[in-house]
Amino acid sequence: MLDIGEKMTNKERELVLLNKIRSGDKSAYMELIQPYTERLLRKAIAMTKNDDDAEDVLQDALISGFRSIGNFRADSGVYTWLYRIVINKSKDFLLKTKNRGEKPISEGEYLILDERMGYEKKLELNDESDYLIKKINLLDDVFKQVIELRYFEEMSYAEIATVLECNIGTVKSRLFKAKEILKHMILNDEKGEK
Amino acid sequence: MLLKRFFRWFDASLSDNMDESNDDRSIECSLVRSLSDLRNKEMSQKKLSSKFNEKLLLELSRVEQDPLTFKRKLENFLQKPKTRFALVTVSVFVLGLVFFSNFTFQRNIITKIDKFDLSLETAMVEDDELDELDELDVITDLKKGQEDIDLLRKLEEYYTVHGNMEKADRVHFKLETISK
Repeated sequence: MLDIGEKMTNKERELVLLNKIRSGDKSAYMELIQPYTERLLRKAIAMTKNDDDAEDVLQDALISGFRSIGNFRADSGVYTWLYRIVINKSKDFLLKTKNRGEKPISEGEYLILDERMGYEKKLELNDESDYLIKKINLLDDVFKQVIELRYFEEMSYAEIATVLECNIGTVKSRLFKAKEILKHMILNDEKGEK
Repeated sequence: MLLKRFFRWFDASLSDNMDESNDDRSIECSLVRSLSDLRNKEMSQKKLSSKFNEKLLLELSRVEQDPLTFKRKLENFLQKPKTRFALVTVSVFVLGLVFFSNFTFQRNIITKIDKFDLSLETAMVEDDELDELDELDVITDLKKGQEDIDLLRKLEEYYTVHGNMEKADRVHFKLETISK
């Protein structure tokens, strides 16, 4: 295990590990991905809707990440980079499944909270969260994506821009619109309640 | 009732006269709280199988890293401190060379201009000497026309008024020559 000094930031720790991995240290790669595997699995499950498939997709994504790590630029975060790989691998998996005729998929089915919620019916969320997530599910896909990446994945604007392959201005604008729509939905409900 | 409970928590929205920034803050807070609630619930329920890391490490032992792309190799090369130092040194040298050549070029130009000015002055002096030879012909022509003499007087007056005494004297001298 890498001896992490108190003053070493996560970014610095990642850079040290990346250098080790590039010189062929595979255990350093395991150490690098360790903090993110559970979160990435969660994403894979949300997309594949099956625990076993999700683990296979995640394994495939992490191997793919190891292969291409030499060309990975550390200026985008490791989690953002792996997150994108997981999304792409999940899409590939879903397309293969679709081609086999097992399960139809639609374009907007990838990044979306309602699919996650559909899968996570057993989660007992409090009323407030349940209400808000239902409202989020009524938003268009582009708005759901930014809400999920910002508040669920806790990504920065720059990281969201990297994942969605758009510029930071677009991310900010979509997020603003999403919150405006949510606000109006909630206020309308409030009027109806009164 | 469920909504009532939500709005109690979502207190900014309950008041009719709440300003916009309060609404924004409330929606921000509720998004953060609700989605972190969802995330925490998911994290507590979804775990990787115990053999996942073992399997992954086994798979990794069978694969090798892809070779670096040309772009990446170039980036790595440019990021090395030695390369950066060499590039800065070469840049400073080239910059110095450009300044030096520019300075030399300017000096050459100035020298050439000075030489040109000198030759122009010489040429003008020579022209004046040549003019003197033709001057007699001109004066002879001027003597024939009174209008030309009046014009020269006006010119003398103009030079005097505008303080160009040297030219005024020259015109006056010409007029005297004509009147002789």
